[in-house]
Amino acid sequence: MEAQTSTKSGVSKESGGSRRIQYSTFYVAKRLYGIDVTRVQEVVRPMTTTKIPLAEQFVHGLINLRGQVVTALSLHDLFSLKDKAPAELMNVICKADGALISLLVDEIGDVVELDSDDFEQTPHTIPEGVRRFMTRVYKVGDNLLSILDVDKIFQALNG
Amino acid sequence: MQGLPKEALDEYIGETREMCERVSINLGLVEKKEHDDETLNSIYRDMHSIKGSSYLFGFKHIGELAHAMETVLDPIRHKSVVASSAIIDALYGGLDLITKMMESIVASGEEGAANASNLSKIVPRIADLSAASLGADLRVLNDHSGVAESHDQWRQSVTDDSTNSASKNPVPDIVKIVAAANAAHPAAPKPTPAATESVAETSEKVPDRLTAPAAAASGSVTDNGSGSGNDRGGAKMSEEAVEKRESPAKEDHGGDASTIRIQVSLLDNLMNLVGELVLVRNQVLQFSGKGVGEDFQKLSQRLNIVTSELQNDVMKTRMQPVGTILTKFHRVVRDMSRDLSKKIELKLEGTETELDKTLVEAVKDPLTHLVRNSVDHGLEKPEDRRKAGKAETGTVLIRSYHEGGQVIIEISDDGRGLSREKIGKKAVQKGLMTEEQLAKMSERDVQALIFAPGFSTAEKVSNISGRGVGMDVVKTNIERIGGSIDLQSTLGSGTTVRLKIPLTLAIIPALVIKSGGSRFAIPQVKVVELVRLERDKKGSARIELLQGRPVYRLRGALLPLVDLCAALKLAPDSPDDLILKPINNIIVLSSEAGMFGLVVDEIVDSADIVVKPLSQLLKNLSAYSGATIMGDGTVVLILDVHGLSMAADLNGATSEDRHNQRAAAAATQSRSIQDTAEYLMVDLGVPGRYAIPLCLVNRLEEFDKKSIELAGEQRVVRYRDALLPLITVARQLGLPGADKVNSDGADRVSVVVMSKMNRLFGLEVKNIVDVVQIDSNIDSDLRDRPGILGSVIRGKEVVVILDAFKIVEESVAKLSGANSAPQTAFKFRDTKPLLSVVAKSESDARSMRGKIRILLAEDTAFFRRHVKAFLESAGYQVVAVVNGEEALKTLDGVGPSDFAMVVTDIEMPLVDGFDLVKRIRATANVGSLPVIALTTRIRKVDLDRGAEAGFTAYLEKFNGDILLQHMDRIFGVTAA
Repeated sequence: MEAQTSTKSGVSKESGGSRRIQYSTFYVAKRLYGIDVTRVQEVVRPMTTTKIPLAEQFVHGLINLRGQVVTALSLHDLFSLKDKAPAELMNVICKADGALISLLVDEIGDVVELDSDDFEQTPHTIPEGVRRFMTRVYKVGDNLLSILDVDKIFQALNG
Repeated sequence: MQGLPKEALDEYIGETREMCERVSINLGLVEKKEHDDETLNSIYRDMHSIKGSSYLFGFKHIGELAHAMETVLDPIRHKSVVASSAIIDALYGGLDLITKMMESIVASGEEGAANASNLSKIVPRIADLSAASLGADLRVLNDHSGVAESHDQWRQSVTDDSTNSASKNPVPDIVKIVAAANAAHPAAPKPTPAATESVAETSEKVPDRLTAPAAAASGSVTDNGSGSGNDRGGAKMSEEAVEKRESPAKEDHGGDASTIRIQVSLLDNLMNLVGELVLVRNQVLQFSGKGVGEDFQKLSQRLNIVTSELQNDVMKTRMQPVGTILTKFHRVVRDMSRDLSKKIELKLEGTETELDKTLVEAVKDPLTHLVRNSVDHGLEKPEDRRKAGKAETGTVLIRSYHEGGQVIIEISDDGRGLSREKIGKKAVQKGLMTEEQLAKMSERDVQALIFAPGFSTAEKVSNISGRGVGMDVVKTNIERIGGSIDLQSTLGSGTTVRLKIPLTLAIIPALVIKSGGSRFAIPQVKVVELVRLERDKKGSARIELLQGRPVYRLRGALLPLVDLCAALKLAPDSPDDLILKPINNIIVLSSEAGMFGLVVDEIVDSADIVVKPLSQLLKNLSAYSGATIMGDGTVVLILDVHGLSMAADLNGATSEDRHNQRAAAAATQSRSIQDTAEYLMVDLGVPGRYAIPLCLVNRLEEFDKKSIELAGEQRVVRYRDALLPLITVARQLGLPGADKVNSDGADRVSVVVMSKMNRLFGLEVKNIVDVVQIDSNIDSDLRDRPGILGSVIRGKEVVVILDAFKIVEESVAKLSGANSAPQTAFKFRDTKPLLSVVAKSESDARSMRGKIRILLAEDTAFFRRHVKAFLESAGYQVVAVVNGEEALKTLDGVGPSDFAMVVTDIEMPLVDGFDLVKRIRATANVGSLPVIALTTRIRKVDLDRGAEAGFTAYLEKFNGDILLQHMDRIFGVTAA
């Protein structure tokens, strides 16, 4: 039994078991985050935002994405980051649950391709405010890349 | 026209024309041998439809003709006959005659006598032709010389003139024939002499016959006997005939030019392009602002206006009134009612409601199915209806309207309704449910079973609604476009199906306003009127304050006002500023809760807006119903009038503010708790609105007046093996008019049962009205007598909150003398007084108390809020938490001077009062704090347990004065 299993897993590894996943990366308060590139529809330069009175702080406002009304979320506020957000924020437009949301970030990074087996678990010491949206961590050169799950963000905010 | 509406007729005409066009195009294909089976089927179907609808509208001649044509087509469709050119020509002829008659209908509402007489000649000939062709072609088909030969035969035997020229031409023949007919005009050249001649010939022979190509073709076909005589008939054309031909042609250009068919994809494309144009326009406008010259500015402004209008109109192109599909159901219903021998009337409401084209298309099939269902299964036969005591004519009502950012389409019938039994049986049969499951299901859930896949309740599958499409498909289709379907049915009285269609693309007229620097849109339907108040020197025509809330006298009636800035927290709530503002814009809105005036900074414009739904993330914001994109590309929120009025009630800020001010420093530290308390609204039989906190109510009862007895002076009823003392609230409070309460003829009395000191008491009221939720705090400044806690503002009205405990206490005291009033306070242990001061006056005492902070743990919102407000009004600082656990968290790590006392409820979730006090006693930093229990249960066991747990004192809930006395004693504040 044991032999079989190990063979199997070995085979699957050889035949590409370690998938390469592409992540779209960006910076928020100088920290590097990544989202599965298939979930990102596009990246849009800073846009005029309509504020929503009474809404939660992290709901930055509404933007007009070519005729579609998209809710923009401030990751600074969502992650309760202390650093002050720059005046102009890039929009990372993500597909979530059939709708679009825009994650406001400071700066756009590269698209990186990483091995699906190469990650580390999110350390428990990370504050819950961010950790609940994180799925894994990659070591990318000198930097650490926190992978965010768009669905988790969407669900957490919905729930 | 059998009383059919104009729209239905227009629909019929448009549809028939469309079908004629399609048939002629398809015939062209057939003639060129480029057709397939579907082409033939399509021709046949269209002729069939023309026949059906024409008969329906009472146009017998068209129907007759179409019927004849259909008969010719049937064998062709079944491939038993090949379409010879003669047949095709005859069909063209028929088509054109139909077109003629349609034109006549448009002009005069009738098919036209000339056409009719013409018809009487054509129809039998077409019929002959079909019979002949059937025979001939069957014969020919046997030897394989096939098509060409039969074609030739027919050309020889039937005609060899106009049809020749037509059929030999590679151009689609319908066009040719029309050209030929047009050529018949004297002024025009004669490209196809043969055709023209034959036309002339026929028109000569039958002077009153229309000289349409139809007549020409069919005439020539049928006049085969005259043979070559037709060949050279002279090219004269009667003037009359020309005129007749021309006049409908003119109408074509005048009447029908108002609509044109366009590919939807083209509209989509236009929409996108306009979007891009708007972006360019915006950039141009920005650029023009940089001082590039007056001319350029003017130009860019024009560009601005034109672009906006273009965008607006392009948006509208995709909208269609839902009536375009609803009116079709007149025919469906009529057809079906005839087939099923039922009497049915179809009523349509809200046909003007607009939906995006794609949505209109998407709801068409589900709606058709639902209407068929209603007619077929829902409505009974006249005799059954008569038996059931209903009018013989059943009604199917289709209503459509906007509601809550959606379009609702309701299909209701007054038929037999859904039978739980039948559905249940079927569901069990089909294995969708077990009997046991079924038994537990609610009526609604059982009814919802008809949406289960593969479910059909009709006992026999009729050819009308049993089309292999079930309600599950309807549901799927509606859900696919983001809608929902809901069904309500009452056995015996009918079924209503509600479709909710998202309004994603629906356009609504709206008023655009500005407040706090942001623009907002308000649906125009909610706007009653606009009022602009300008403050004149005398200060009349102004906003007034009633109990701290702004109101305005609108033609003598008080209109409550909501300041949009305050409601949306764009600015601090300051009703006083409203009064001082030189100009106020009030939008009078109607909401479910009544009318109110919305004060806005500026009224900008009115606009047709496309409603876009807000993200799920924002669904809890009831103040908005959606968003829209304005002409300049900015997103603007659409205000939800109902949600807004609710949000405004929520604030109730004034009374809270007053408490906060009085509580001085406490305001900054005490956490504000905003939650709902429930009240039982009661009618005391005297003017005014009264309510009892629901948490004080045990039960609601109704007693027969005869069962009320007297025990001494006290009215009592027997209730649960004991005597329940009845207290007439209005009388006990000494309210004016109290004497008349319950003196009317009613033989039952409504009683609110509550418990105090382990006894039940009945509060007699005139009526129990409702349970309501009120978010605002009780304003206790307005209590004018014992037994009243204060008042709260609910919507527009002021509700007086009754202190039920006090009422009972007063009543008991009155009866038994003050001395024997039961003890409601127990002191268990002494603590070192914190202050030991003597207060010279009440205000002095208050300021002393101001230094003391108290932690209040109470899970019931009403008590929490009430006790907090009460203590704060006495001067204390109060931090309120919702249970013992929260209280422990708050106390965790605080210094000894942070809180001077804990006041707690006993029964709370997570950590109750007993646990709380035990754990406080076991904690070093707060172990010696005085802890007072507030409870409704003062039995011996409770008291013992309380003393043991370590409470300082055990007090009855709701007795504010006793609480204050105890607290003062504990803190050492004594009155001078």
